[in-house]
Amino acid sequence: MMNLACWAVPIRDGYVLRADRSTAAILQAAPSRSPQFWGWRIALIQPQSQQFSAPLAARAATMAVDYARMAGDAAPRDGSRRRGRMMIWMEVALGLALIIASGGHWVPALAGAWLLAGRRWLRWLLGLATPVAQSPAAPAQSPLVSSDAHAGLGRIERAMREVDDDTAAYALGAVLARADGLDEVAEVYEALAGGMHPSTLPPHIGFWVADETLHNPWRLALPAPAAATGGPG
Amino acid sequence: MAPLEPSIAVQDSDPNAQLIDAFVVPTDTGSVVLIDADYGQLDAVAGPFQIALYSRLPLSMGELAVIRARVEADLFTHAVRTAGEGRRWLLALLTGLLELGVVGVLLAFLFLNREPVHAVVAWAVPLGFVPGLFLAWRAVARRRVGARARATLEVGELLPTTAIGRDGDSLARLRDLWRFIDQPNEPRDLMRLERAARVRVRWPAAARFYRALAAAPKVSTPQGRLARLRARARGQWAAPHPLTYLEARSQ
Repeated sequence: MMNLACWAVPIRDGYVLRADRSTAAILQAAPSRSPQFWGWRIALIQPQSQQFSAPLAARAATMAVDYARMAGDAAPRDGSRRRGRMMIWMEVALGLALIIASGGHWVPALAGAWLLAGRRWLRWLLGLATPVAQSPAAPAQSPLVSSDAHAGLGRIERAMREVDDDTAAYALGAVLARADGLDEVAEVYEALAGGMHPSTLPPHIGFWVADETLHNPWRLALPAPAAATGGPG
Repeated sequence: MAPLEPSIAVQDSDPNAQLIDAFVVPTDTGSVVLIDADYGQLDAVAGPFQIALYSRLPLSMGELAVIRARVEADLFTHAVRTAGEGRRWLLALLTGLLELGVVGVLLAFLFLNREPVHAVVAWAVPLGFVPGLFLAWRAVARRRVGARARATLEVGELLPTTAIGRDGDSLARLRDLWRFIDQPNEPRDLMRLERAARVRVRWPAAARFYRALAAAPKVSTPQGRLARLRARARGQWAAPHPLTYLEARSQ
């Protein structure tokens, strides 16, 4: 099974759930892995307080990971494909230049033809350019969700509790989270400190689980991934 | 409400496990997790992967879960990236030899026909043929790394438990690094740590890690009211040596 992490960031009225930034990379690698590992072992990372019941945690964590999976399809790929295209264009240009400059000699013309198409054709024929096989990955097993207390998150929650003003508390939370290297947590608090209501958080920041929802997990609804303005996690 | 079960705590390593060493090392502002492992050398066929944690203080289960998720992401992203290398390396070698033959004939042609119009041919040789030869050389040189990456994708699994690191050399290196930073009147500075890791502790991976950390861009601070609140809160609440700055990095 794949080890995933999902943050339950404590706020004034409930929690903001979001998948860890590693989730996108894990899910992008999943189609290349053997199907026997297509299962999720999700660690729900929360402060010391055990606010989440098992069904709520399972549903919320699965939704957060599901969202990261759906939004991850649109995530930008690395630059290797662009570099590959540049190489092809350079080979084509050099091949044409060699053929034109050959002046009727067969040796430069042959080298030009090799650069123009020969090398790529041979690599394709021998299967050297075939990418690693991928299958559409879908979780084959029901997710296993565990609840793990995070010392840093607990410290932040306790510090915020001592501040009365909401905005100041969120600003404090953002500072402490950045100091602890908890960037996902800091992004949530920064959005809230900027005056955003938890219910209007952008999907890539997370989704709100209000205190009243803690007793009724089926009221949870996930925002549409198409509305995302940035990558998940 | 039935509470959720926590993950399994830190335990001894699995006898068949391929250990991935994770060290909690000091930095200028606290501590970070350094993953000192060459993913290309891990053999998934020999057994599952497991994180071996070296830390002078116990970490919470949530921190361990984050480290595990980051290592899983690093490990399998590396495997996907390198799985294509060295596949059918013999055919790649033959293609390289064929390409070398074309280059040889072209150089012989240039040697025998020294005309100004053929200057373009002289330019085309390094630009057009070196990448092809490099691809063939890389397929041969990295065939074992590619095979291990494919094995990782096929049978590799990161265990959900974290083991206590017990390697004597690793423990000694970590202890020496912390001793250096714990000296009184010793300022916490990334470049001093880099030098200590390189010269005193003789730990090249840690020295590279500190160099990379020093070169990493800092997080920008937003302007306005939030920045003022941050500055006020920083002085009042920020812990001097937070332990939970978690960053998984492969070498």
